Amino acid sequence: MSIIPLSIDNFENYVIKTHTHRTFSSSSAGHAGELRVFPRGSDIEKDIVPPGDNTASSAVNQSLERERHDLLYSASLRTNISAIVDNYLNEINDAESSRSKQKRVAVIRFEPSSKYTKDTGRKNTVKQVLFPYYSNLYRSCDWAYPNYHSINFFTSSDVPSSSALIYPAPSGRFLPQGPFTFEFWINPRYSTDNVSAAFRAGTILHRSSSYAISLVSGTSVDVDGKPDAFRIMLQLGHSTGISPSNISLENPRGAPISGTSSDLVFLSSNNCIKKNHWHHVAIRWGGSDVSRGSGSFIIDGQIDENFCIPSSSISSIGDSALFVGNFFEQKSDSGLVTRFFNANTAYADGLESYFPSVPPAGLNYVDLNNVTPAGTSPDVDLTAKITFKNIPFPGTEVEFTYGPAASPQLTTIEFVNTTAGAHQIDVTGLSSTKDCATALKNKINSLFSSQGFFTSVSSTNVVTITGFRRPSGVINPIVPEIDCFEPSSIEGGDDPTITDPSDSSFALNHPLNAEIHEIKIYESYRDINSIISGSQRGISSISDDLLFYLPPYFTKTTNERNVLQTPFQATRSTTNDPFNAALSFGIGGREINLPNFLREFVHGTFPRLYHLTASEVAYTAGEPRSANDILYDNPGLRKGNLTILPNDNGQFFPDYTLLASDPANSDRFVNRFGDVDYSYINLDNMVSLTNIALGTATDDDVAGFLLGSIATPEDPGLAPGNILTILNRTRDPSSNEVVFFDASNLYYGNSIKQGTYDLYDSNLEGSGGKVSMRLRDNSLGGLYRADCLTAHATWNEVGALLYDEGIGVIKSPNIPFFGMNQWDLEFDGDYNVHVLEINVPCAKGMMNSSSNPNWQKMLPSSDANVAEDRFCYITGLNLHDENFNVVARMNLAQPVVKKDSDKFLFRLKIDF
Amino acid sequence: MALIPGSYKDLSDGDTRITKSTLNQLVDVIQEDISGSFTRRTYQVFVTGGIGPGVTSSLFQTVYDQDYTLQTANPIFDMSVGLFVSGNTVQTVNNGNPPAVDSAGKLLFPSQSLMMREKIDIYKQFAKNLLGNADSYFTSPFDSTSDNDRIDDALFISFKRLFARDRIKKETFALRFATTGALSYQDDSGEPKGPTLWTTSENTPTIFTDIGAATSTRRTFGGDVADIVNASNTNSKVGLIFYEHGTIILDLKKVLSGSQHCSGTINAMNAISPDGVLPVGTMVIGQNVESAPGVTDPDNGIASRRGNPRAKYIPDLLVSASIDDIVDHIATTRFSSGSLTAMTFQNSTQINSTLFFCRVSADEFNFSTNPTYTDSNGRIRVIDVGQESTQRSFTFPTTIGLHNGQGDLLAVAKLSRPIEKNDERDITFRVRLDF
Repeated sequence: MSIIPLSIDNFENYVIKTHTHRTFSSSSAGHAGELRVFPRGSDIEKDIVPPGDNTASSAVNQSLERERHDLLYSASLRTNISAIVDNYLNEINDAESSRSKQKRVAVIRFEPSSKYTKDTGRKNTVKQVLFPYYSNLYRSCDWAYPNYHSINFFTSSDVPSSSALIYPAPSGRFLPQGPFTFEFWINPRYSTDNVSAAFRAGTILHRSSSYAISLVSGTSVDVDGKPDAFRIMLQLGHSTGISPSNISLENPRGAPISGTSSDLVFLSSNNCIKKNHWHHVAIRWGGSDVSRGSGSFIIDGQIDENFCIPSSSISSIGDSALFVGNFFEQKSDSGLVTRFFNANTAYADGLESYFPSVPPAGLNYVDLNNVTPAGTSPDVDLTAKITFKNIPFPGTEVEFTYGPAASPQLTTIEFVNTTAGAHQIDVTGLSSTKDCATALKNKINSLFSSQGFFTSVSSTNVVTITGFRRPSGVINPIVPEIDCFEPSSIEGGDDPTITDPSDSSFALNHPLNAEIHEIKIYESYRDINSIISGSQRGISSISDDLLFYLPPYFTKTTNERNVLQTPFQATRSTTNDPFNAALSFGIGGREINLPNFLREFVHGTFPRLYHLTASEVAYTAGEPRSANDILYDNPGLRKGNLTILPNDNGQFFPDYTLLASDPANSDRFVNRFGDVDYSYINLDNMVSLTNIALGTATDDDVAGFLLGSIATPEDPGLAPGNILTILNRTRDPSSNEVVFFDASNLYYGNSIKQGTYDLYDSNLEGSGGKVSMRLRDNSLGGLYRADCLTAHATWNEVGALLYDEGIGVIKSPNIPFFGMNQWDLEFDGDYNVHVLEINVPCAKGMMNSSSNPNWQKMLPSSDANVAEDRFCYITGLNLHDENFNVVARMNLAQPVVKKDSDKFLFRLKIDF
Repeated sequence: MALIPGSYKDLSDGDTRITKSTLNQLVDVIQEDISGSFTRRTYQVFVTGGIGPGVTSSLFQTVYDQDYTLQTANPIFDMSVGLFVSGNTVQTVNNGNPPAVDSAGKLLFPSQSLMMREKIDIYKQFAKNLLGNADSYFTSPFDSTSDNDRIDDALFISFKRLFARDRIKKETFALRFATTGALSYQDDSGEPKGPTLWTTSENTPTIFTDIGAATSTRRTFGGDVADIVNASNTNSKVGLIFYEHGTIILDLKKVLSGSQHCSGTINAMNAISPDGVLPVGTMVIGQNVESAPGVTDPDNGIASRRGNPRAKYIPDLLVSASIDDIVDHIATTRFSSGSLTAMTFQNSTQINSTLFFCRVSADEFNFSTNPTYTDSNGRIRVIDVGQESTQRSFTFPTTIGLHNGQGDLLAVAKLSRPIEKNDERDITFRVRLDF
């Protein structure tokens, strides 16, 4: 009998879970890792008629088949058809390969577009459908990202090396008067670009004449010969006058350098800081009364090195500034630190001014009341600069000349009454010369002397008017205003109250190459336990001994400053978003709002972002360029956009209690349920839809189609207006500063295997090849930064990964243009192979003969010890259904000899 | 599972139709894919022992569409040669007699031959598979009884199922093949004295095709079979094509100029170098007519162990060369090495389909059980609030589910876009399942 009935016991079903490893790379050179839709497609396969194609090529192929029919017809008429067949073969040879068989699928990267496109729809589907669906599984399905960042300092050929965060430190601010403890987390991400280059000392904190803490190289090098370990250098008091790179690391307190004693230079142990490792560093000193004036470096909670300071204080009280990320070297008297906070810059950048009584330039109209003494006493002499007030002759127009006698310039002072109660003097045609200022003074004197005005020109070319008296008995006189020309543009102008120090008067040439966070300066000597606990969790309150605290946290409040609306125009405003919403929703530009991240929490001050921002650029006609192309022309903005990065330090957990002290500004810290959660920065509803217009520029050729000329992504050079063009087009107020990666399920099968997703950009846009970033999934649907070699902050979910959909979303706007130029992706798939296993028994005494008529009874072997006198070869099995239809067939790799005494079990496996 | 009225509709037998359709695709085999050593894979499964280093050879070679070491390479066809045991070539080896047989039934051949039993076995294997009888033989024309039409020396080309699919479409096959090899000095004194065995033929190739198969196809053990004809003279039958198997059989004595002189070095069981320069384990055939085997070569004074100086492609090459050498010669010299088409055909894939016609009349499926279809008061939402009593309901079907008699969902069909359904429309959705 050759048919064996199989019962249910002979069948078994099980599932094999497979994990296919996939890699995909994308760069300007193209893709690597694309998958064929038809996995066994071949170039030699060609379509007889291309599917769905009525183009000329289709006609060619159709004629190909037609020619074959002609060929058949010819063959019916003659016996020599060689030439026709030859032509037919040539046409086949010319036909293109099958397009459908060549179809390949790539992993797609896309960003929301500036118009309503399919990418807009994709974003909406992810945000409005998939995120809510998966939100009960993954926390990262909020349109938000964690408020956990580090401050990134780096140098490259594409960014300025003289950048720094400069915190105003007037009158001894940030200056410990006795004992001190400096604490911070640091990760030296970057080494030298080549073996022969020296690693330049990079300064972490520097307060002139008080202290400087720098990162310097150790002696260890990696396999490429580049430094891979570092140490910390502390300079105090007068020794801060020495440039960090001039100090010998072998003998730091050796002979005086340039006449300055280096006796207050101290170093941590060699190679105590490893490259790309997060280390917590504390430097403490308790004054002369603690441990006889000895201090210590504490690295990762362990005392690393001790040092001794013989004096009782390191103080150097006075107006200064705290430089974070660079070392300030004053080269001349005009290079005063205070000039970084002159009236103009402070006004433009929303900073604390060192010259509060000086009105900034750039204001067209300055209210004299702001600079008059308080009180109501009449007849008090007032002094103001060009912002003099009270125009007695509205409508008067006076011409005057200035300039050299040989070529006098003629201009007009016009007193106009533009609108009711708003008088002004328009001074037109002036050139920025001292002659101009003097001429203006003389003319005003001659005009207004009878009114009690007296003008003078100072050495800095500022026209000063004195003698104005408040009318007796009038508390708030009407004070019409006057145009003033910008003092900074006056020839020879170098007023320290309104201008930056010149580039030659100082140097910032010790840029840090590391990431840091949780920077604290205490005016006390902290014990080890406090340092360790403080290194593990953020602080919840500001203690009395805390002088400086920079987490950095995103906060919603900033001072009013000039905020770009387009690359060419700015307006006065505060910012309350992680990025410049006007740029983003208006013209698709990206600028991180650094002040919102860099607020110092003890004094609430904001830093001068030196060479880290962009200001308006002059509009030049030419080929249309995107806003980002124009913005990224500015090296400072390139670096500024990479200054706040997601933090991957998993050894620390921030405490957001400090943010809760300002509940009025909590609306950016809400989750999808509307509950306040300061650990997340919400990216939804970033702009209001209440003023959205019914129509706007949607036509590429006609900017401002319905609403007049407004800036658009296609033409950012127009005035911004009050319409955000992209918002108006998409009606989507959620952040567009996101990046999507969409992998087809051809890559992964059922789902992406949790914990295997690895996304890498080797060169973030604008970094000049220096800043790379790796993102991994945390098996909980979140993407976290995974660059450091110490424990990762897996909870810092800068993006989301939907495993079953193959969609990754990078939500953090602090990673600008991730994957814009190149990216690599790796992951494993989850694919279930369903297997039907059929066990076919082949018992003893069965299957020993064949019904094949050719079968003959033969000995299975010539061996004498073989008892059987017959056998058969089994070459295959057929599976029949109950009606004996063959439903499956199995062939053995080689025939099997079946003797009477043999007992087999054939195991068939069918994969589905 | 309870069926919700209004969302389900029974399909009758008239709503279901089972169809068969055929998909054809053109296959264009390029000359250089056949001739190239990177795209033609050999298998060293045959090894001799005894004299010299021995000969290793494949029993067949596989042609790929790209470098076969690449993971993406696809095998196009296998190629081998076979000899009919009672054919003229085999008998020529034994001076016109059938080969001797030893006591174990093994065929015996003289030492000047190589792989004779393998060549015969390959022929038998194809005969068994295609004719149903291993001892049978192929003829071209297929049903010819003439000995002249018997295919004694066969070139077998078996297309892989990846390309042949369910079958080769009739009257779509064509092949470019050089019937004449490179000319030798013996053929024409104007030609150089060098070897010709590995030199690409410069003669215009002949085209062989299955034109006429539509009317001359026979159905046999191996399925439909038709003759391959010479396109220059379609009355000249040179081989067979088995459509379901995807196998081409060419009669080498008809597609080769068998009597043409050939010369070159082949692998052989030879313990010494034929000329002192060539490696041992090789033999030179067809060169230096003046020098006889074992005689000092008058050109260079080297003692020679050379083969027949008057060697021909048939029978000398077929008898003395290994299968690898024969296939190498055919692949490298007879198909040319350019980028033109060497072979072409159209394959056929049969697609079995079940069509379900889901007919929706005007009054059906204008409502949805989706809970959002009604408002909190249970009223159907309408476009203009307040017009519930006047505005008619409509739906946008997006998906069709196919259930069995128990209501289990068996298959889901998604529309490429939602289609509006209202009481003014009857729609038939045609759901197609291809197998």
